Amino acid sequence: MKSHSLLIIRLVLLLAFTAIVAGFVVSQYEDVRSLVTVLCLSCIGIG
Amino acid sequence: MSKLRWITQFAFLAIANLGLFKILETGIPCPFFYCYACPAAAFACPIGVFQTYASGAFQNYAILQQVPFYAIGVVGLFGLALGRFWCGWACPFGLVQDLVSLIRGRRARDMIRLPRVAWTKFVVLLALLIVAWAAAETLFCKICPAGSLFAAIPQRLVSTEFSFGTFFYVHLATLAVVLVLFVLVGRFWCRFLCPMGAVLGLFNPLSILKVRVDFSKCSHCEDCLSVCPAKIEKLEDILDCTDCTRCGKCVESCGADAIKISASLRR
Repeated sequence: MKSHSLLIIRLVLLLAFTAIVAGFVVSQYEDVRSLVTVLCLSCIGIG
Repeated sequence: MSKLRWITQFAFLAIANLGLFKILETGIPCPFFYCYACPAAAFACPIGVFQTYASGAFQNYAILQQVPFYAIGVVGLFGLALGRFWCGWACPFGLVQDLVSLIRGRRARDMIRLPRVAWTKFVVLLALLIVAWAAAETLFCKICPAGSLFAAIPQRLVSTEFSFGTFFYVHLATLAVVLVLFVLVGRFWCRFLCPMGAVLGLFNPLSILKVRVDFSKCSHCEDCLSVCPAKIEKLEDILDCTDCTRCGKCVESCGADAIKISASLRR
């Protein structure tokens, strides 16, 4: 892949991922955090 | 470089367990394979997050909230920056495999030599998402060997009030099987099964940090390929293949100083 196309692809992806994170962090961060803070009992075979 | 890698692997094991201090239990997906059901987990396992969303756990939300955009974005940023460098230098389950492989001796070859097969981990990734969606359950978590080691067994040790059911013993069985495989074949999980490795591997051709070969210096002795834990078979594949964990063993083995791990936006 030519160096300038690689540079453009990387910058586009960098911007896209940053925009996705910025756009959804407020609404989804706590949902993801709940997976860490609330123990999934069935996942590890408790009970 | 190998000493530095041991240090970073143990450092990331410690970082992954910062949830020991409850205030540090975050909603950040980690760029490696570590179970969020661990009593001390500080980060969310992306594979667990993707499964949870696929299982429809948030289906009462608006449609846009049912897709794990935030987790995809975070993992995308991790992948775009370093690719599978995370597997080689940070993943606690990779560290376990490296520790188990010490049984064979530092330079010993795999007891069973298996060729490189790149597609199996992508099948695992796809299958676990389809199963999570079809069963409306995070079924892979129930058999995940990393979950066994980092969550089920520690929870059993710290939570004496719980009773442990069938899936606890399923966890122990899968862990026992993969531990035997780790003794026989170096980095077996990373090479053939890891769904997180599949996700990060997609970014290997695009990641900013790469293993780069200077072919003008290369003598084509192939010492680098003979020590490669990912069993990469061609020098040309080191740069872009989905299996390279950037462990740096090829860099150490190169007498001609032709291989380097370097960061570049353009190459």
